[in-house]
Amino acid sequence: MSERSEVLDQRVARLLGVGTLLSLVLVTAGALLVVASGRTPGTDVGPDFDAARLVPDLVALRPEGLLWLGLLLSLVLPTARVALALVGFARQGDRRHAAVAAGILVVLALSVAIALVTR
Amino acid sequence: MAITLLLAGSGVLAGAFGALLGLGGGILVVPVLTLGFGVPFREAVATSLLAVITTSSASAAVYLERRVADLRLGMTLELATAIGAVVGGLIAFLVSERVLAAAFAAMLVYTCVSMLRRALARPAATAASVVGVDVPGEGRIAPLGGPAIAEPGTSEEEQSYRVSRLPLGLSLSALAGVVSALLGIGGGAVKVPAMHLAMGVPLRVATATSNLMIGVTASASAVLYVLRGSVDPYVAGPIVAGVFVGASAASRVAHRIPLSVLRVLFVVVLGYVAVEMTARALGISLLGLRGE
Repeated sequence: MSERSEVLDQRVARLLGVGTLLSLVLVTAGALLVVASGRTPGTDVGPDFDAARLVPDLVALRPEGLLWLGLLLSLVLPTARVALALVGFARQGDRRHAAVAAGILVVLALSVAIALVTR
Repeated sequence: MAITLLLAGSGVLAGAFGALLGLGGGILVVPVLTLGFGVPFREAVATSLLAVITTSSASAAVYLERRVADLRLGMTLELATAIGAVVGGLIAFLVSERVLAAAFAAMLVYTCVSMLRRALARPAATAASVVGVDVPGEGRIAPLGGPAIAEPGTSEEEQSYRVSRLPLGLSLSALAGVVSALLGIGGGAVKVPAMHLAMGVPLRVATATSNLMIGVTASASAVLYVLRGSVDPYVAGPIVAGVFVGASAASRVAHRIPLSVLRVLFVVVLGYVAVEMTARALGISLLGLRGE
């Protein structure tokens, strides 16, 4: 494995590690807020994801704000990893794997588009 | 408070059990939520996918850092798993939840039977070998899809290998993506054999790379579930945190658990869950557990 490939692997590893930790902190904080607020999961149903409500919920320290931010962070982490790899492959002149990474991002974007159009 | 703690505790158990057996937390999160908490099947699958993404990202970080996972191969196959996952995610909303439950039950039965056969064929195997695949020459077991701590360093074989039959690997990866999206599991049980047996990738690299791939595979379909309102954050939060804690803790102690204990746990728990999920698919409640 070339040195530049190793450097890329280490950067991706760091992104995944830090991102996962941050996601877990947010999700755990949100779960604790659910407990503190007296809500009962199952009986009290949490709100669906709404991008427009995310910031207001976070500012107001509502549990769903922290929970959704943590869950979203976890959800986008693999995509961020692919994007970081795309940049790394392009810098290394590895066109084939850069194209593969770009293809993955297209598929992931398609998934979002399909979900938005069909909901 | 009690329900939140129960959810977190269930997540810990599901994550721990999955890690001990090398199956990943997903295989137990779905039945725990549907049978234990009465969560609708699609919501349980969505929650499981989120948990799987989190544990996958954490273990992938370790594998990449220790240069065991093959980032390039993983991403090449991810193109296929992501497409498969999107297709699977769309199918999940077209079929009834009973059909999905039946498919899940069939997967559990298949897992039970195939792993029991392996366990009976290797009576002297070491602990945690009930589900994983032997790592040749090392006397250790590599889990099929669950999070695990990567081994430091790589052998010469693992550093220089040639990937063969890529089209077959891509096809199997696409199938793994469909299965992952439909059932809320990581798909490692398909990906690892695809890489190791079909493509000639060393087993430890295949396992580590599969862990890396699970994140993209699961997120491709999880986004469909999230944007279609199939995730309750009050339920998903404790489960995700619990699964991560359980899987992380269990992967560190797996080698200390006697094989006989794991075998009994495996047969009893997965067998019971398979029966309950089958009954659910047929619209029967066996032991009065919460259902649809």
